[in-house]
Amino acid sequence: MKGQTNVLDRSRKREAFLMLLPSVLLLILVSIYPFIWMFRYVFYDYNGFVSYFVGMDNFKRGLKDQYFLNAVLHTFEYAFWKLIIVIPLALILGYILTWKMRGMRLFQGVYFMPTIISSAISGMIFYFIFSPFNGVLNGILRSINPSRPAVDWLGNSQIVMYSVVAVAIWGGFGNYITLMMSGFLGIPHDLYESARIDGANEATIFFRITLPMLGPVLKVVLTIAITTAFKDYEMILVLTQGGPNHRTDVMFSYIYQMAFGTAPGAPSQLGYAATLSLYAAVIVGIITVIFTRLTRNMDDIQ
Amino acid sequence: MKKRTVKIISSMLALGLALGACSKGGDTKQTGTDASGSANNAGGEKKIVAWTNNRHDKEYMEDQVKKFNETNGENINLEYVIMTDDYVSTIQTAAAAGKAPDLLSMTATAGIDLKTFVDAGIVVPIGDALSDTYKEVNDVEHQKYEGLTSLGDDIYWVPTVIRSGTRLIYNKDLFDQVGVEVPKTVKESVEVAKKITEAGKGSFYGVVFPGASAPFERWLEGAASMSGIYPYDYVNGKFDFMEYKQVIEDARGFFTEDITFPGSTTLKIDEARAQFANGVIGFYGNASQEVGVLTEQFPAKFDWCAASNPTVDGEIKGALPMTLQGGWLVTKTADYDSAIKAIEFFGSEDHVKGYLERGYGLACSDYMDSKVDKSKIGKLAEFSKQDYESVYPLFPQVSPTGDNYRTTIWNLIANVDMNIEDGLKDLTNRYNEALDKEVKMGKIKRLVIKDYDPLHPSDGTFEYLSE
Repeated sequence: MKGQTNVLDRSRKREAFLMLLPSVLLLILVSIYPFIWMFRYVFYDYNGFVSYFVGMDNFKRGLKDQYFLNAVLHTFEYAFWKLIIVIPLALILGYILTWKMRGMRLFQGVYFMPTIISSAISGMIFYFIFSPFNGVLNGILRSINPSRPAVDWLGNSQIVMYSVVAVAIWGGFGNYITLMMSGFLGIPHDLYESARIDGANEATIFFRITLPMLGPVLKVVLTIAITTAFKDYEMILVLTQGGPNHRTDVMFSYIYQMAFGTAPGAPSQLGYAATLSLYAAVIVGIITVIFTRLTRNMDDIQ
Repeated sequence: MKKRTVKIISSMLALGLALGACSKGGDTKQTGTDASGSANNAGGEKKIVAWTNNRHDKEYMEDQVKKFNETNGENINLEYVIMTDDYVSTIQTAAAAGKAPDLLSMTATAGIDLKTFVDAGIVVPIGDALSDTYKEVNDVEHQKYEGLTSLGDDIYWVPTVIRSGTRLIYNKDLFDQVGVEVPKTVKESVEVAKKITEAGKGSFYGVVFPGASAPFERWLEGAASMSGIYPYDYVNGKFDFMEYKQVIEDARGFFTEDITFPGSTTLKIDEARAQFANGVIGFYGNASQEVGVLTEQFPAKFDWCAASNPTVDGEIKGALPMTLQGGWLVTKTADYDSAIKAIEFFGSEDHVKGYLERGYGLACSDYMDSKVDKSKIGKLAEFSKQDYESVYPLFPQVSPTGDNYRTTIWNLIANVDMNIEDGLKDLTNRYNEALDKEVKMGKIKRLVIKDYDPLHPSDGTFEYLSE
């Protein structure tokens, strides 16, 4: 009997190995190998053609680079606003969508739709919506109050960050709703029933049973949301290119500009960009570690 | 269990085959770009590949390529490939893999830094291989610009067309309607824009800037260089941006008065063009490529004109930069003789004449200028070469931290609460730091022209220093 399970184990292991193999290979090929390839250039001034050894210069330069430091602050600002809105929103909508009511599937579909649109495309769509001249959003505002001057959603440095965050929320919350919903649906029904028999009201049930039971899922959602928020940049590049005047420059949009040239014809600084990506990776890494430490007990469901 | 393993393996094989097929597909495509002479096949056909990032002349060029392939008499088959985006990085990647094409289309704005390409061993000189006819038609002797087209005695490419310097492009009907004259200075242009915007009451505006597509170089940079203000101090061999202060202060008027077309700070060039063609904008600036744009891409239905670029005080103290175009670089891996043959074709009188008469650019050489039928070029005549236009020597191409100078200066213009002097000091420092560092590491050389004349910038004696 024992021998049989061993054989079974071995063949299952082989199966697992084979199943994992393609994605591991792809990961090595398109993610780990380029990373190592790029990594050596952190010590070089490299324009894509010829590299010059500069030692630790890139690292020193990164610490003094006001543009990068500002971009780091903007990343935190962006992530803060995005997370503080998108998580509660996804939580509440996800909860409502689990109610058995007519039309819920339609809402599910509608909320999820932005997720399948590439962030570059949604950037383009919102670029037109936000346009100050003949833009949809300003058109709506004007129909409410015709004397109101058009708002420059992407050109006004006091507003632009919120405009960008709004697009990010629109593009991201459908994904989190789906994850939250699967969390809600995974909670055993008898818990609710016994709570109701004990006379608990809906609010008590939500805060005492649903939320704690959602712990592990919520943790996963938060981890994904945080790391994504810190890495977002495609939509920002399309919408504002980090502007106006770097107001929406986040770490990776600045790194992108350094790597591929700050303007048509500007020399690319791949070595320096590699160094900055390393800094950015460390920052995102630290945030993730702090977060996992803080939420360690979310996995335990009492 | 076994069955399942078999299933998995077979599906993996299928996946592998699919991937293999994909990469094979890529390979077959690559053979086209696998440029070297080895691409010659048994039939004696010599296959060469040319890359370009020019789209505006596609129709004419493709016809001409067909003609070249039919008439070259040496069985050369030229494949003409238009790269849509990231021209330079695509070349970078291809060259690193040893798969650069035979010919690279070259314009001074393509983003190709000649010295970098020569240092990296990607391109080779062509000067000695060119025929006398070619040299005469394209005035090779005078169309040689150190750092831009040649390094020392080696000529790497020859421009056959030029793009004019920038002009103020204005809606004449709107100017007449509001009753304003064409401005001569930056300050006046703010006043004109203000009058138009006020008269428009939200239905039309004085000026538009493509804030997201290089807004500074469309005409304000021209205003500076025509006033003798330039990023690089050729006499002393270092960067100096402090003189841009006046231009920035004057141009800020557009933003303090809030008279630009709404959303100018985030607009892309084609949107700005579309709005101008739509008749809701008084003026904007650009070079000769706008002729094609406003007649074909976004046809303007009103009377529009191109006037001289304004300056700071109305006087011309420096040259307005023109852009060299229509040349070809030959790569190291190329089938050299066939590549030269193609270059000769694209620099022939017939080809260049057709190109110029379709309004794609202006004549580079006096020879070609005399051959072009001016009645055919239409609006392009308004962009014809002026005495104050010239080609600047390429200053050292440094990689500073942060923004490049154009973005920085534009930000100082559009963000009225920023301190101009601090901004320019920081900009000057960033550029000079990069220059000193890169000269020291041997990446670039410091260019000094002791007898530099801002009205004739490329006439002086060039000195390249390694300190």
